[in-house]
Amino acid sequence: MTRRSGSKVVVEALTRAGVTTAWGYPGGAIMPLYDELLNSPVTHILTRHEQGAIHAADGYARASGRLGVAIATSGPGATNLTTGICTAMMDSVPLLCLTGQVASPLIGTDGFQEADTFNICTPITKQNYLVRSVDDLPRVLAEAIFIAQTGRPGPVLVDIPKDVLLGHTSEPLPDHVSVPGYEPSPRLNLAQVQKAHALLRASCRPVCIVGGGCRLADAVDEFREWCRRTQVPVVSTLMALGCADPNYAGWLGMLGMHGLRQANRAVHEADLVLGFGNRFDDRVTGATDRFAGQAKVVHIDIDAAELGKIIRVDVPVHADLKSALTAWNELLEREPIAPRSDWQKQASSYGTGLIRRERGEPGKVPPTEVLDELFSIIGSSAIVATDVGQNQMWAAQRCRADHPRKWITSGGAGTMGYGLPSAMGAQMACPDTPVVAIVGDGGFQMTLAEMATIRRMNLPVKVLVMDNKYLGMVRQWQEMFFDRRYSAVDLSDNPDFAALARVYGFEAFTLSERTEIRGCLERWLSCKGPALLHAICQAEENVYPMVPAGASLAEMVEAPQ
Amino acid sequence: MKLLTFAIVLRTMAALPRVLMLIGRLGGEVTYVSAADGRANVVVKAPKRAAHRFAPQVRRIVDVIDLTELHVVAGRTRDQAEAERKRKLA
Repeated sequence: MTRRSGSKVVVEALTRAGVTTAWGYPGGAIMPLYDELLNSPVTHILTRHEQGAIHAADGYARASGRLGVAIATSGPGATNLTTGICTAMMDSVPLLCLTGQVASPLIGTDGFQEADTFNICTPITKQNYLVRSVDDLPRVLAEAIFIAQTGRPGPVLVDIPKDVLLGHTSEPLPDHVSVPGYEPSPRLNLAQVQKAHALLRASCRPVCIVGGGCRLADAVDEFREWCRRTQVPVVSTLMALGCADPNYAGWLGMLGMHGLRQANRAVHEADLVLGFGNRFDDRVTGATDRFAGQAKVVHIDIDAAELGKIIRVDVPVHADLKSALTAWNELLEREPIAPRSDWQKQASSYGTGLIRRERGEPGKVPPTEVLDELFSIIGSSAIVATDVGQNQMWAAQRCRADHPRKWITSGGAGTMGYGLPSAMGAQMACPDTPVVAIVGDGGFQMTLAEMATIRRMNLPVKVLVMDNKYLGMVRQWQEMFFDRRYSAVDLSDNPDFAALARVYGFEAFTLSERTEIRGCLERWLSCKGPALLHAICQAEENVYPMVPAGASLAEMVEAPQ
Repeated sequence: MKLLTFAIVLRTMAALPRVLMLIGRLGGEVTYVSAADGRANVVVKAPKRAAHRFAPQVRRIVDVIDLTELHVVAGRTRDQAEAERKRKLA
């Protein structure tokens, strides 16, 4: 093997892993790698902030199923990545984060732009490395890429001192990666699937909760076949929207804190809950002691630590969801079950709990009506990326995605500022699919500088800013649980977002009249390049239904009539 | 509180802080650690409601090759031992 620099090893590893796009922001310690990128087939996209880079890499990974790559320099460059790393960790997104580090002799001397990136990132990465020798770099990179994408995926960080990037090695990239003790594909125990099947046969009111693991395991087809064979009512976590066929008769929508009435009631009344690749998050279960109180629980997950973590499980199945459902479908072929049509009809009869208000404020539009119209126009044709807060929940309640890779949102971490850069990443991954970013006025202003990146790349992202001049979700909680004492939520001095977008080179529109909603949406969506729609929304709209924190799913607060 | 005892095999000793940080995050209080050559014995006082989460989550750390949870087998009291000795002698 010929000797080559550490930087060249990095490019070699990326290329061999099939990486074609990386997002980043250069600086002193990472400059040798940026120099090498000039000669590489990897397209590097310069963002306006490291947070934009990592959210874009995250959106790219979620939309494509491929590895996302984010690059930053040492010190503040690396620390600016941390919110995005945490976001990816919580939602199990395969990311490779490459950070520069000060030269080895300077580590521990409080050198310029030195930060202990390795230890800062330890709790928020699946695995991380500080490379001490250039001879270790080929093995570390191969391991990092393997670990990020296998088992339950997640972000892996490789912190590389400048002298390691500049140093030379003849160590080849290993052909095989072996990490002792790391078992990314647990062997399926068929006996557990048979036990689950027996519980399903015996149940009268089964409900399936599908989670983000269905997308990660690429098990959408197997899951839909399982639905077709069992006709079990299905609810979805925020992360799994799009997994169920939107035309499936048993589809009840999202459950949880802002879940639909029919989804929450069905789970509450179920006698069997089947969790597929979900993690029974507190936003999903409400009060755990009263969650599905009459139900036995089957839980399939690739991560053994999730089984029994939050709620008691009667039949745990430690397996990759795709292999578990393949086996279960074969079992259903041999031993079919009778469909519970009455139960399916009963669950659907509870209704969504979403209402449409007849009256509105002049000069403002009802945000839910804007989204109703938007989804009626785009159907399931577009990738939808959201920010976090009311905009996210309203969109989730109305989402019509027909595949989970068309729904990009920060679930576990709930990262404001995620929507715009992740939409940018999704558009790079899927250049022929329309991409819509739904953002609130708060989150949008956290990362809006990425409009410049979108313009530079001429990505036709459509940005909908739902401007209610509040941090809406916090305001809603203050209204409901803090006697309307609004503290630090006022954004009444927001700029004119349409004017701002034009400065960045976007086409831009302002929507403030209810009668113009559909026409305005159509004009905005028909733009060829990037375009922004600034919707002036009614200020004090709330997201309903809502399960207050600490309450059970049966204690939903419904929209006042 | 519940006392948990783990015998852990680590791929690298650099993973030990990660293990200890996680234990702290889960609300555990490490009362004893001995570690050398890729092996660590850790005793943790864990909150009862979360005790079941410790072993699976530590095992999930990539550099943890193996984790065995050790259970203290109830020993005989001095009286029981004496009674058994007498029984055998008889």
